[in-house]
Amino acid sequence: MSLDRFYAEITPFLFGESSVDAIEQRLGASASGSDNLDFYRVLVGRNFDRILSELFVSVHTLVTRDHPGLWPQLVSDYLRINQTAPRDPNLYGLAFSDFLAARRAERGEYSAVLEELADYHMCSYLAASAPAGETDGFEARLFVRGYTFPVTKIVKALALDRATPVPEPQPATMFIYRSLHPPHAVRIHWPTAPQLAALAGRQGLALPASLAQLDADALDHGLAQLIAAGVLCPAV
Amino acid sequence: MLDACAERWPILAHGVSMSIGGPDPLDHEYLAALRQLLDRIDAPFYTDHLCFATLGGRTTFDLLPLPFNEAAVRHTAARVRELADALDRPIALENISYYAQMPSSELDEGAFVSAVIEEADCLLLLDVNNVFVNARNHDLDPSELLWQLPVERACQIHLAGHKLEGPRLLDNHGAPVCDEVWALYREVIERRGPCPTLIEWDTQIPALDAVLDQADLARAIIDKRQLDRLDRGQA
Repeated sequence: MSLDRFYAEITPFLFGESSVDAIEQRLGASASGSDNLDFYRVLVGRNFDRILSELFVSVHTLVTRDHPGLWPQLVSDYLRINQTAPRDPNLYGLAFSDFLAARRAERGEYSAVLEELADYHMCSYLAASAPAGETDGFEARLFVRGYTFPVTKIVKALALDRATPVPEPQPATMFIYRSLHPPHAVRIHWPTAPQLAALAGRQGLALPASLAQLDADALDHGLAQLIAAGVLCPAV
Repeated sequence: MLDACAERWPILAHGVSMSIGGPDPLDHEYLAALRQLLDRIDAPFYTDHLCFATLGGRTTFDLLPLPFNEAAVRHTAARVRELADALDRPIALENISYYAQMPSSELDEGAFVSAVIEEADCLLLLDVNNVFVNARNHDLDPSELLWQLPVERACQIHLAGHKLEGPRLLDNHGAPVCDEVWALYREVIERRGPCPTLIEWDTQIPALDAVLDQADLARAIIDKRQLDRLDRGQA
Protein backbone atom coordinates (compact mmCIF):
# COMPACT_ATOMS: atom_id res chain seq x y z
CA MET A 1 0.00 0.00 0.00
CA SER A 2 1.32 3.46 -0.85
CA LEU A 3 1.89 6.00 1.88
CA ASP A 4 -0.39 8.44 0.02
CA ARG A 5 -3.25 5.99 0.24
CA PHE A 6 -2.56 5.37 3.92
CA TYR A 7 -2.81 9.07 4.67
CA ALA A 8 -5.89 9.57 2.52
CA GLU A 9 -7.69 6.76 4.32
CA ILE A 10 -6.52 7.46 7.88
CA THR A 11 -7.43 11.18 7.85
CA PRO A 12 -11.23 10.93 8.17
CA PHE A 13 -10.83 8.27 10.85
CA LEU A 14 -8.53 10.41 12.99
CA PHE A 15 -10.93 13.35 12.79
CA GLY A 16 -13.88 11.23 13.83
CA GLU A 17 -15.51 11.09 10.40
CA SER A 18 -15.25 7.33 9.92
CA SER A 19 -15.18 4.33 12.24
CA VAL A 20 -12.31 2.04 13.17
CA ASP A 21 -14.16 -0.82 11.45
CA ALA A 22 -14.30 1.16 8.21
CA ILE A 23 -10.64 2.06 8.34
CA GLU A 24 -9.56 -1.50 9.07
CA GLN A 25 -11.65 -2.73 6.15
CA ARG A 26 -9.85 -0.33 3.84
CA LEU A 27 -6.31 -0.43 5.27
CA GLY A 28 -6.19 -3.80 6.98
CA ALA A 29 -6.18 -4.58 10.68
CA SER A 30 -3.83 -3.08 13.22
CA ALA A 31 -1.58 -5.71 14.82
CA SER A 32 -2.41 -4.02 18.13
CA GLY A 33 -6.16 -4.64 17.84
CA SER A 34 -9.12 -2.45 16.94
CA ASP A 35 -9.57 -0.95 20.40
CA ASN A 36 -6.01 0.32 20.52
CA LEU A 37 -6.23 1.74 17.00
CA ASP A 38 -9.55 3.40 17.85
CA PHE A 39 -7.84 5.05 20.82
CA TYR A 40 -6.15 7.42 18.36
CA ARG A 41 -9.54 8.76 17.27
CA VAL A 42 -10.31 9.31 20.96
CA LEU A 43 -6.97 11.04 21.60
CA VAL A 44 -7.33 13.45 18.68
CA GLY A 45 -10.89 14.31 19.69
CA ARG A 46 -9.67 14.90 23.24
CA ASN A 47 -7.05 17.35 22.00
CA PHE A 48 -9.63 19.57 20.32
CA ASP A 49 -11.96 19.40 23.31
CA ARG A 50 -9.13 20.38 25.63
CA ILE A 51 -7.98 23.32 23.49
CA LEU A 52 -11.49 24.78 23.29
CA SER A 53 -12.48 24.11 26.90
CA GLU A 54 -9.28 25.60 28.32
CA LEU A 55 -9.11 28.60 26.00
CA PHE A 56 -12.84 29.42 26.25
CA VAL A 57 -13.16 28.42 29.87
CA SER A 58 -16.25 30.50 30.71
CA VAL A 59 -18.04 29.33 27.54
CA HIS A 60 -17.30 25.75 28.55
CA THR A 61 -18.62 26.42 32.06
CA LEU A 62 -21.89 27.92 30.84
CA VAL A 63 -22.51 25.32 28.15
CA THR A 64 -21.85 22.32 30.38
CA ARG A 65 -23.91 23.91 33.15
CA ASP A 66 -26.90 25.15 31.18
CA HIS A 67 -26.98 22.93 28.07
CA PRO A 68 -26.19 19.31 28.99
CA GLY A 69 -24.78 17.35 26.08
CA LEU A 70 -24.20 20.39 23.87
CA TRP A 71 -20.45 20.87 24.45
CA PRO A 72 -19.30 17.67 22.67
CA GLN A 73 -21.60 18.63 19.77
CA LEU A 74 -20.02 22.07 19.53
CA VAL A 75 -16.52 20.59 19.59
CA SER A 76 -17.22 18.02 16.87
CA ASP A 77 -19.21 20.42 14.66
CA TYR A 78 -16.51 23.08 14.93
CA LEU A 79 -13.86 20.49 14.10
CA ARG A 80 -15.78 19.46 10.99
CA ILE A 81 -16.02 22.97 9.55
CA ASN A 82 -12.78 24.45 10.87
CA GLN A 83 -10.04 22.48 9.13
CA THR A 84 -6.84 24.35 9.92
CA ALA A 85 -3.31 23.53 10.98
CA PRO A 86 -2.00 26.31 13.22
CA ARG A 87 1.23 25.55 15.07
CA ASP A 88 -0.16 27.38 18.11
CA PRO A 89 -3.07 25.25 19.39
CA ASN A 90 -4.90 28.31 20.72
CA LEU A 91 -5.19 29.70 17.19
CA TYR A 92 -7.45 26.77 16.44
CA GLY A 93 -10.04 28.80 18.36
CA LEU A 94 -9.87 31.87 16.09
CA ALA A 95 -13.21 31.18 14.39
CA PHE A 96 -15.03 29.78 17.43
CA SER A 97 -16.92 32.98 18.27
CA ASP A 98 -18.19 33.33 14.69
CA PHE A 99 -19.10 29.65 14.70
CA LEU A 100 -21.16 30.08 17.88
CA ALA A 101 -22.87 33.17 16.46
CA ALA A 102 -23.76 31.47 13.18
CA ARG A 103 -25.12 28.44 15.01
CA ARG A 104 -27.20 30.61 17.33
CA ALA A 105 -28.61 32.52 14.37
CA GLU A 106 -29.58 29.24 12.76
CA ARG A 107 -30.85 27.29 15.77
CA GLY A 108 -31.34 29.80 18.62
CA GLU A 109 -30.37 27.21 21.20
CA TYR A 110 -28.35 29.50 23.48
CA SER A 111 -27.67 33.13 24.37
CA ALA A 112 -25.40 35.55 22.51
CA VAL A 113 -23.35 35.73 25.71
CA LEU A 114 -21.48 32.62 24.56
CA GLU A 115 -20.11 34.16 21.37
CA GLU A 116 -19.23 37.37 23.19
CA LEU A 117 -17.33 35.47 25.87
CA ALA A 118 -15.54 33.44 23.20
CA ASP A 119 -14.51 36.60 21.41
CA TYR A 120 -13.32 38.15 24.67
CA HIS A 121 -11.18 35.11 25.53
CA MET A 122 -9.69 35.03 22.02
CA CYS A 123 -8.89 38.76 22.03
CA SER A 124 -7.27 38.43 25.44
CA TYR A 125 -5.07 35.60 24.24
CA LEU A 126 -4.12 37.34 21.00
CA ALA A 127 -3.28 40.55 22.84
CA ALA A 128 -1.16 38.63 25.37
CA SER A 129 0.79 36.87 22.63
CA ALA A 130 1.14 39.86 20.29
CA PRO A 131 4.73 40.72 19.41
CA ALA A 132 6.25 43.51 21.44
CA GLY A 133 6.61 46.73 19.48
CA GLU A 134 5.81 50.39 19.44
CA THR A 135 2.81 50.27 17.11
CA ASP A 136 -0.92 50.63 17.70
CA GLY A 137 -1.44 47.04 16.53
CA PHE A 138 -5.17 47.14 15.89
CA GLU A 139 -6.67 43.64 15.91
CA ALA A 140 -3.33 42.24 17.07
CA ARG A 141 -2.33 44.02 20.31
CA LEU A 142 -5.39 46.23 20.65
CA PHE A 143 -9.00 45.13 20.18
CA VAL A 144 -11.97 47.50 20.24
CA ARG A 145 -15.17 45.68 21.04
CA GLY A 146 -18.79 46.51 21.75
CA TYR A 147 -20.33 43.71 23.85
CA THR A 148 -23.91 43.55 25.00
CA PHE A 149 -23.01 41.52 28.10
CA PRO A 150 -20.50 42.48 30.85
CA VAL A 151 -18.03 39.79 29.80
CA THR A 152 -15.24 40.63 32.24
CA LYS A 153 -17.60 40.42 35.23
CA ILE A 154 -19.03 37.13 33.97
CA VAL A 155 -15.60 35.54 33.49
CA LYS A 156 -14.47 36.55 36.97
CA ALA A 157 -17.72 35.47 38.63
CA LEU A 158 -17.78 32.06 36.92
CA ALA A 159 -14.18 31.42 37.94
CA LEU A 160 -15.21 31.88 41.57
CA ASP A 161 -18.60 30.16 41.39
CA ARG A 162 -19.77 28.25 38.33
CA ALA A 163 -23.39 28.61 39.53
CA THR A 164 -23.33 32.40 39.03
CA PRO A 165 -26.33 33.41 36.90
CA VAL A 166 -25.71 35.28 33.65
CA PRO A 167 -26.57 38.96 34.30
CA GLU A 168 -28.83 41.09 32.13
CA PRO A 169 -27.23 42.76 29.09
CA GLN A 170 -25.23 45.91 29.83
CA PRO A 171 -23.96 47.11 26.44
CA ALA A 172 -20.55 48.76 26.58
CA THR A 173 -17.56 49.50 24.40
CA MET A 174 -14.21 48.30 25.69
CA PHE A 175 -10.59 48.04 24.68
CA ILE A 176 -8.75 44.77 25.25
CA TYR A 177 -5.07 45.51 24.88
CA ARG A 178 -1.56 44.63 25.87
CA SER A 179 -0.17 47.73 27.49
CA LEU A 180 2.72 49.46 25.79
CA HIS A 181 4.14 50.17 29.24
CA PRO A 182 6.09 47.62 31.32
CA PRO A 183 5.24 44.96 32.37
CA HIS A 184 3.14 44.92 29.16
CA ALA A 185 0.20 43.17 30.80
CA VAL A 186 -3.17 42.65 29.10
CA ARG A 187 -5.60 45.27 30.33
CA ILE A 188 -9.20 46.30 29.82
CA HIS A 189 -10.22 49.92 29.30
CA TRP A 190 -13.71 51.40 29.01
CA PRO A 191 -13.20 54.51 26.86
CA THR A 192 -14.82 57.89 27.24
CA ALA A 193 -16.40 59.55 24.19
CA PRO A 194 -13.33 61.75 23.52
CA GLN A 195 -11.06 58.71 23.81
CA LEU A 196 -13.19 56.78 21.32
CA ALA A 197 -13.10 59.71 18.95
CA ALA A 198 -9.32 60.00 19.32
CA LEU A 199 -8.91 56.32 18.62
CA ALA A 200 -11.15 56.54 15.55
CA GLY A 201 -9.04 59.45 14.37
CA ARG A 202 -5.89 57.39 14.81
CA GLN A 203 -7.45 54.72 12.62
CA GLY A 204 -8.50 57.28 10.02
CA LEU A 205 -12.18 56.50 10.48
CA ALA A 206 -14.97 59.02 9.97
CA LEU A 207 -16.59 60.00 13.27
CA PRO A 208 -20.29 59.32 13.82
CA ALA A 209 -22.44 62.36 14.45
CA SER A 210 -22.46 61.82 18.21
CA LEU A 211 -18.66 62.15 18.35
CA ALA A 212 -18.13 64.65 15.55
CA GLN A 213 -19.25 67.50 17.76
CA LEU A 214 -16.34 67.11 20.18
CA ASP A 215 -13.86 69.95 20.01
CA ALA A 216 -10.16 69.59 19.23
CA ASP A 217 -9.07 70.10 22.85
CA ALA A 218 -11.27 67.22 23.99
CA LEU A 219 -9.85 64.98 21.28
CA ASP A 220 -6.27 65.93 22.19
CA HIS A 221 -6.97 65.24 25.83
CA GLY A 222 -8.56 61.87 24.97
CA LEU A 223 -5.54 60.94 22.87
CA ALA A 224 -3.14 61.92 25.64
CA GLN A 225 -5.06 59.77 28.11
CA LEU A 226 -4.88 56.72 25.81
CA ILE A 227 -1.15 57.21 25.36
CA ALA A 228 -0.68 57.57 29.11
CA ALA A 229 -2.62 54.34 29.66
CA GLY A 230 -0.42 52.43 27.20
CA VAL A 231 -3.31 51.90 24.77
CA LEU A 232 -1.84 53.90 21.89
CA CYS A 233 1.77 54.67 21.10
CA PRO A 234 2.89 58.33 21.26
CA ALA A 235 3.29 58.83 17.53
CA VAL A 236 2.67 56.92 14.33
CA MET B 1 16.19 37.05 28.39
CA LEU B 2 16.69 34.31 25.80
CA ASP B 3 19.95 35.88 24.70
CA ALA B 4 21.12 36.16 28.31
CA CYS B 5 20.33 32.48 28.88
CA ALA B 6 22.13 31.48 25.68
CA GLU B 7 25.25 33.28 26.88
CA ARG B 8 25.22 31.34 30.12
CA TRP B 9 23.98 27.86 29.14
CA PRO B 10 23.83 25.70 26.02
CA ILE B 11 20.25 25.73 24.68
CA LEU B 12 18.52 23.13 22.54
CA ALA B 13 15.18 23.50 20.76
CA HIS B 14 12.65 20.67 20.76
CA GLY B 15 9.71 20.71 18.35
CA VAL B 16 6.35 18.97 18.34
CA SER B 17 4.82 20.18 15.09
CA MET B 18 7.19 19.27 12.25
CA SER B 19 5.12 16.22 11.27
CA ILE B 20 8.33 14.86 9.80
CA GLY B 21 6.76 11.68 8.47
CA GLY B 22 3.54 13.32 7.35
CA PRO B 23 2.20 13.96 3.87
CA ASP B 24 2.16 17.78 3.86
CA PRO B 25 5.19 19.61 2.43
CA LEU B 26 7.60 21.10 4.95
CA ASP B 27 6.88 24.77 5.51
CA HIS B 28 10.07 26.49 4.37
CA GLU B 29 8.95 29.92 5.51
CA TYR B 30 8.62 28.51 9.01
CA LEU B 31 11.94 26.69 8.67
CA ALA B 32 13.70 29.91 7.71
CA ALA B 33 12.40 31.58 10.87
CA LEU B 34 13.29 28.52 12.92
CA ARG B 35 16.83 28.52 11.54
CA GLN B 36 17.23 32.16 12.58
CA LEU B 37 16.21 31.22 16.12
CA LEU B 38 18.55 28.22 16.21
CA ASP B 39 21.42 30.36 14.94
CA ARG B 40 20.64 32.97 17.57
CA ILE B 41 20.83 30.45 20.43
CA ASP B 42 23.66 28.55 18.73
CA ALA B 43 21.80 25.23 18.98
CA PRO B 44 24.12 22.40 17.91
CA PHE B 45 21.23 20.31 16.58
CA TYR B 46 17.43 20.33 16.30
CA THR B 47 15.04 17.73 17.66
CA ASP B 48 11.49 16.65 16.87
CA HIS B 49 9.48 13.44 16.94
CA LEU B 50 9.45 10.48 14.57
CA CYS B 51 5.76 10.74 13.81
CA PHE B 52 3.11 12.49 11.78
CA ALA B 53 0.76 15.16 13.12
CA THR B 54 -0.69 17.11 10.20
CA LEU B 55 -2.64 15.73 7.25
CA GLY B 56 -3.93 17.69 4.29
CA GLY B 57 -3.73 21.01 6.13
CA ARG B 58 -5.44 19.70 9.26
CA THR B 59 -3.51 19.17 12.46
CA THR B 60 -4.29 16.56 15.08
CA PHE B 61 -2.22 18.24 17.80
CA ASP B 62 -0.82 14.80 18.55
CA LEU B 63 2.24 12.68 17.79
CA LEU B 64 0.94 9.79 15.71
CA PRO B 65 2.92 6.68 14.82
CA LEU B 66 3.86 6.14 11.22
CA PRO B 67 3.12 2.80 9.64
CA PHE B 68 6.25 0.78 10.31
CA ASN B 69 7.11 -0.04 6.69
CA GLU B 70 9.73 0.66 4.02
CA ALA B 71 7.69 3.32 2.24
CA ALA B 72 7.47 5.35 5.46
CA VAL B 73 11.20 4.86 6.04
CA ARG B 74 12.11 6.28 2.63
CA HIS B 75 9.60 9.14 2.81
CA THR B 76 10.63 10.18 6.32
CA ALA B 77 14.37 9.87 5.79
CA ALA B 78 14.19 12.10 2.71
CA ARG B 79 12.31 14.74 4.69
CA VAL B 80 14.79 14.58 7.58
CA ARG B 81 17.59 15.32 5.10
CA GLU B 82 15.53 18.20 3.67
CA LEU B 83 15.01 19.51 7.21
CA ALA B 84 18.71 19.24 8.08
CA ASP B 85 19.59 21.19 4.93
CA ALA B 86 17.03 23.88 5.69
CA LEU B 87 18.16 24.29 9.30
CA ASP B 88 21.84 23.80 8.47
CA ARG B 89 22.45 21.51 11.40
CA PRO B 90 21.97 17.85 12.40
CA ILE B 91 18.52 16.55 13.27
CA ALA B 92 17.69 14.19 16.13
CA LEU B 93 14.45 12.22 16.01
CA GLU B 94 12.69 11.11 19.18
CA ASN B 95 11.18 7.65 19.49
CA ILE B 96 7.54 8.30 20.42
CA SER B 97 5.13 6.38 22.59
CA TYR B 98 2.53 4.60 20.47
CA TYR B 99 -0.66 2.90 21.48
CA ALA B 100 -1.35 0.93 18.30
CA GLN B 101 0.62 -0.12 15.28
CA MET B 102 -0.85 1.55 12.24
CA PRO B 103 -2.34 -0.72 9.57
CA SER B 104 0.14 -1.72 6.83
CA SER B 105 3.04 -1.96 9.30
CA GLU B 106 5.59 -4.60 8.29
CA LEU B 107 8.47 -3.92 10.70
CA ASP B 108 8.71 -3.81 14.46
CA GLU B 109 9.37 -0.49 16.19
CA GLY B 110 13.09 -1.04 16.72
CA ALA B 111 13.72 -1.99 13.10
CA PHE B 112 11.65 0.94 11.86
CA VAL B 113 13.34 3.57 14.02
CA SER B 114 16.77 2.17 13.18
CA ALA B 115 16.04 2.18 9.45
CA VAL B 116 14.87 5.80 9.45
CA ILE B 117 17.81 7.00 11.54
CA GLU B 118 20.29 5.13 9.36
CA GLU B 119 18.80 6.15 6.02
CA ALA B 120 18.46 9.77 7.11
CA ASP B 121 21.92 9.65 8.71
CA CYS B 122 20.56 11.57 11.68
CA LEU B 123 20.70 11.35 15.46
CA LEU B 124 18.40 9.75 18.00
CA LEU B 125 16.72 11.58 20.86
CA LEU B 126 16.19 8.59 23.12
CA ASP B 127 13.05 8.83 25.24
CA VAL B 128 13.48 6.10 27.83
CA ASN B 129 9.99 6.52 29.27
CA ASN B 130 8.54 5.98 25.80
CA VAL B 131 10.52 2.74 25.54
CA PHE B 132 8.99 1.55 28.81
CA VAL B 133 5.45 2.67 27.92
CA ASN B 134 5.64 0.95 24.54
CA ALA B 135 7.06 -2.24 26.01
CA ARG B 136 4.32 -2.39 28.63
CA ASN B 137 1.52 -1.57 26.18
CA HIS B 138 2.68 -4.08 23.57
CA ASP B 139 3.79 -6.91 25.86
CA LEU B 140 7.48 -6.57 25.06
CA ASP B 141 10.56 -6.76 27.22
CA PRO B 142 11.65 -3.15 27.94
CA SER B 143 15.37 -3.88 27.85
CA GLU B 144 15.11 -5.83 24.61
CA LEU B 145 13.09 -3.03 23.02
CA LEU B 146 15.60 -0.46 24.25
CA TRP B 147 18.56 -2.16 22.61
CA GLN B 148 16.69 -2.65 19.35
CA LEU B 149 16.84 1.13 19.01
CA PRO B 150 20.00 2.77 17.61
CA VAL B 151 21.15 3.87 21.08
CA GLU B 152 24.67 4.51 19.80
CA ARG B 153 23.21 7.44 17.83
CA ALA B 154 21.61 9.05 20.90
CA CYS B 155 22.64 12.67 21.46
CA GLN B 156 20.11 13.39 24.20
CA ILE B 157 17.86 11.43 26.56
CA HIS B 158 14.36 12.25 27.79
CA LEU B 159 12.93 10.92 31.03
CA ALA B 160 9.33 11.40 32.15
CA GLY B 161 6.42 9.99 34.09
CA HIS B 162 3.30 8.33 32.75
CA LYS B 163 -0.14 7.33 33.96
CA LEU B 164 -2.34 4.29 33.73
CA GLU B 165 -5.58 4.87 31.83
CA GLY B 166 -7.75 1.83 31.29
CA PRO B 167 -5.69 -0.95 29.80
CA ARG B 168 -2.74 1.20 28.73
CA LEU B 169 0.01 3.44 30.02
CA LEU B 170 -0.16 6.99 28.71
CA ASP B 171 2.95 9.10 28.31
CA ASN B 172 1.63 12.25 30.01
CA HIS B 173 4.73 13.89 31.54
CA GLY B 174 2.73 14.33 34.74
CA ALA B 175 4.45 12.16 37.35
CA PRO B 176 7.89 11.25 38.71
CA VAL B 177 10.03 8.89 36.66
CA CYS B 178 9.17 5.35 37.77
CA ASP B 179 11.68 2.81 39.09
CA GLU B 180 11.58 0.68 35.94
CA VAL B 181 12.45 3.70 33.79
CA TRP B 182 15.30 4.64 36.12
CA ALA B 183 16.59 1.07 35.74
CA LEU B 184 16.50 1.38 31.94
CA TYR B 185 18.21 4.76 32.13
CA ARG B 186 20.95 3.26 34.31
CA GLU B 187 21.38 0.52 31.70
CA VAL B 188 21.78 3.11 28.93
CA ILE B 189 24.29 5.22 30.85
CA GLU B 190 26.35 2.21 31.96
CA ARG B 191 26.62 0.82 28.44
CA ARG B 192 26.58 3.96 26.34
CA GLY B 193 28.20 6.51 28.63
CA PRO B 194 27.01 9.94 29.85
CA CYS B 195 24.45 11.72 27.71
CA PRO B 196 22.65 15.07 28.19
CA THR B 197 19.37 14.25 29.92
CA LEU B 198 16.11 16.15 30.27
CA ILE B 199 13.32 15.53 32.77
CA GLU B 200 10.01 16.23 31.00
CA TRP B 201 7.30 17.31 33.44
CA ASP B 202 4.70 19.56 31.82
CA THR B 203 1.34 18.43 33.19
CA GLN B 204 0.32 18.35 36.86
CA ILE B 205 3.45 20.40 37.43
CA PRO B 206 4.83 20.06 40.98
CA ALA B 207 7.04 22.38 43.01
CA LEU B 208 10.36 23.03 41.29
CA ASP B 209 12.18 21.07 44.00
CA ALA B 210 10.43 17.88 42.92
CA VAL B 211 11.68 18.28 39.35
CA LEU B 212 15.18 19.20 40.50
CA ASP B 213 15.22 16.07 42.68
CA GLN B 214 14.59 14.02 39.53
CA ALA B 215 17.39 15.80 37.73
CA ASP B 216 19.67 15.06 40.70
CA LEU B 217 18.82 11.35 40.43
CA ALA B 218 19.81 11.37 36.75
CA ARG B 219 23.00 13.22 37.59
CA ALA B 220 23.83 10.71 40.33
CA ILE B 221 23.49 7.81 37.89
CA ILE B 222 25.92 9.48 35.49
CA ASP B 223 28.33 10.35 38.32
CA LYS B 224 28.25 6.79 39.66
CA ARG B 225 29.05 5.39 36.24
CA GLN B 226 32.02 7.74 35.94
CA LEU B 227 33.31 6.88 39.43
CA ASP B 228 32.96 3.16 38.77
CA ARG B 229 35.04 3.52 35.62
CA LEU B 230 37.68 5.50 37.49
CA ASP B 231 37.77 2.78 40.16
CA ARG B 232 38.35 0.22 37.41
CA GLY B 233 41.07 2.40 35.91
CA GLN B 234 39.09 3.21 32.78
CA ALA B 235 39.03 6.71 31.33
